Amino acid sequence: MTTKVTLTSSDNENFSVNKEITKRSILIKNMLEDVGKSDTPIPLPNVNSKVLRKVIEWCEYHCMDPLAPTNENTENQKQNTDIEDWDQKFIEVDQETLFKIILATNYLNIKPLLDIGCKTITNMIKGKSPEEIYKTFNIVNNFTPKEEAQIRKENKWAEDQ
Amino acid sequence: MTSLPYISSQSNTQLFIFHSAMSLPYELLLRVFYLLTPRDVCKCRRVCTAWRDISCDPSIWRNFYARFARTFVDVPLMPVATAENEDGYQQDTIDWEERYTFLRTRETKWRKGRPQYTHVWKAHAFPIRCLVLSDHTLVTATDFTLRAWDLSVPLQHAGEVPGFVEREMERVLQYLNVARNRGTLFVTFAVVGLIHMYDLKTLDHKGILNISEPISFVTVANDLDEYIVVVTFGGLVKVFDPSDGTVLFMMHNGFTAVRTTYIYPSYVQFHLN
Repeated sequence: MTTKVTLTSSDNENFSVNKEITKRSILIKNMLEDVGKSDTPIPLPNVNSKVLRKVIEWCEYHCMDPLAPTNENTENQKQNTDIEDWDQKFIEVDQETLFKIILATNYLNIKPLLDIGCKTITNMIKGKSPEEIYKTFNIVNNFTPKEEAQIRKENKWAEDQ
Repeated sequence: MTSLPYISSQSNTQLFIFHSAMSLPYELLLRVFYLLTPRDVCKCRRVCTAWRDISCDPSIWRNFYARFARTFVDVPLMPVATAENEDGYQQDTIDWEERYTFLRTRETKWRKGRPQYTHVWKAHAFPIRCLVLSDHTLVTATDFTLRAWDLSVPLQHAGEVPGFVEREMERVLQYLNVARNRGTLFVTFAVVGLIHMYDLKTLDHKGILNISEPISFVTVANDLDEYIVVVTFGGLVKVFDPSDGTVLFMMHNGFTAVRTTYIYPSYVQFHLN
């Protein structure tokens, strides 16, 4: 019989999840190891129910994946921004949700999903002009004209070719 | 509008940058920037002040430098300069973005056949006998001294001497060859029939190939195996695996003098006098 763990979102919704699945999150995995056997729900004050539902959906789909090694070496990080088909569909959400998923996975420490989120943003930036980036992310350009001219000058190698 | 103060990635400050949708903390945006190409990072620099600050993070450029330099099977020749800050921690004092841009510009210009700049310096007090270039390392030799120069660091002033390591030679050398992937420098003493192997970066001695008769020519196979082909004046041809000095192939062609050799992926060609 599989053990269930209860997770409580910031808006007080309870999720009963298979214990093995929650171990995808290093945060919860460590918590469970510290607490030992307990039926108390785990509160996740930084994650709302909509985002938590998405994250659990991802963990359930990927429950058979081997656990990623925990050590992180950014130097050897491959510059590969390909995303698998299922994950690509999964991450097709509005920007606000996307950012919330990234924040939640960072908090819950689920590296593979965090990578997918970051890759999605990377793919949204890639090959775009700064003007297109403002539009995509609704960012306000807060440079003075002088600063902007300076950056353009220093940046010359990136713009030609 | 004032710009945000520069926050280094080493600090654990959880800085939230509120820009409508982009409310991700510095560390997470940094993760996104790691996956971008250098060109995209430079474009992001023009988006807003917060993004500019992230795009200047040394860790991003260190990463780009490492990735780029590895493409050319290279690491910095000289030990990385570090300074100790007040807390006694080693602090990175290298401008990685400058390093990266320097290498990249050089490669681009090189490919287009245009020099990046001309730099003149006095390499030795005595005339240079031979030299060999491998990626970002230049090796020069006079009759009795070897010097390996680090060309991966941009030089600011005319006459400035790049960093180098030096090694004294006991006798007069004839040829220099480099096995690039192995990082090995072959120094041939033709008259006595010896080839000494050195580490290309440190000039540490790695081994000796003893041919025991005067050498006419030495070539390194320009492929992954990087075997070394030695031809003697007596017409003896030997192919070595330089990692353990094994003779892979040996023949006597019956001719007296081989002038030069060329290696193609599957065969060796000799030019006879």
